[in-house]
Amino acid sequence: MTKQEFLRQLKTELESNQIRNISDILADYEEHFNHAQVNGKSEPEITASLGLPVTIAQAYKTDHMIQEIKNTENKFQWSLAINIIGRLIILAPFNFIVLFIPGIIIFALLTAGWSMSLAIGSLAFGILWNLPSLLNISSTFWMGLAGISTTIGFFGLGIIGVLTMFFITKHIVLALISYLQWNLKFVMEK
Amino acid sequence: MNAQFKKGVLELCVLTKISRKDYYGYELVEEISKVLEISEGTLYPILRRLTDEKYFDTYLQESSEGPPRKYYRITKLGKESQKELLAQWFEFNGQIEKLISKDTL
Repeated sequence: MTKQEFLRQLKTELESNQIRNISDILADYEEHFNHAQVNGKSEPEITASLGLPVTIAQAYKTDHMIQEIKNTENKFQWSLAINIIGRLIILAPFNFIVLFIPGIIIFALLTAGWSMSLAIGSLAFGILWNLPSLLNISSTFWMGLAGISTTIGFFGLGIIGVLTMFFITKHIVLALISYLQWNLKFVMEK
Repeated sequence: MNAQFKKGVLELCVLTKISRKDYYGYELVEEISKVLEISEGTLYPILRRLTDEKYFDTYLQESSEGPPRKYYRITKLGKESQKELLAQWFEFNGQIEKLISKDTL
């Protein structure tokens, strides 16, 4: 590859990845060519040791993405996390394939967990709602007490469930982001 | 030490070299690629990121023997980061050393 071809390809790649300061970046590589040529290297030699423009553009993109993820580490924002995961999956279809089956399983488990804790919570309200009629049928003091304690018990279980699920979901999302971050770093290496 | 590790090593090399003296891009790439097998083109993104993170500042210098050179100079923030990475590196090295020497005994 010649210098012109390399720079043109790099420019195209950077543009398609919406990298900022493209002319500054290209100037760095132009300077690299100039110095290498002064040191007696040919254009094909130089481009060969630089690596592929697509790989280099990927590295700039990677850094850009990682900077964004790093910002979210300070305060966790659900919408931002979901947005980033979406963008990363679109940028690296590979991730989508790797994450697809485990993703479905984890998503199913999370949904099941959330439904269960919400169901237990609703059950508490259900019992509370039906308590008057239950008491009418067999209105002993102990039945009433049992009904109320069951309500409180289920209600507590529901709250514990919801809190646990919130905790688990948050950590899974954070783990997913870390994985993607690692994955993007990996792409950068030769 | 984990996934950050590999990223950190190259970053540590770049930071350490530039903490000792100012380098221009090509000079630094040459020195590092003499020792480590890397795609030379991927060092510039690191230089740019570290500059963006205010670890380096840059200045342009004309040279009598060739094209103008964009020099990288370490900042106070960069020095702090270099020290931290170096400490982590030694800690990690020490741990691995322990592990390996036990295993080989």
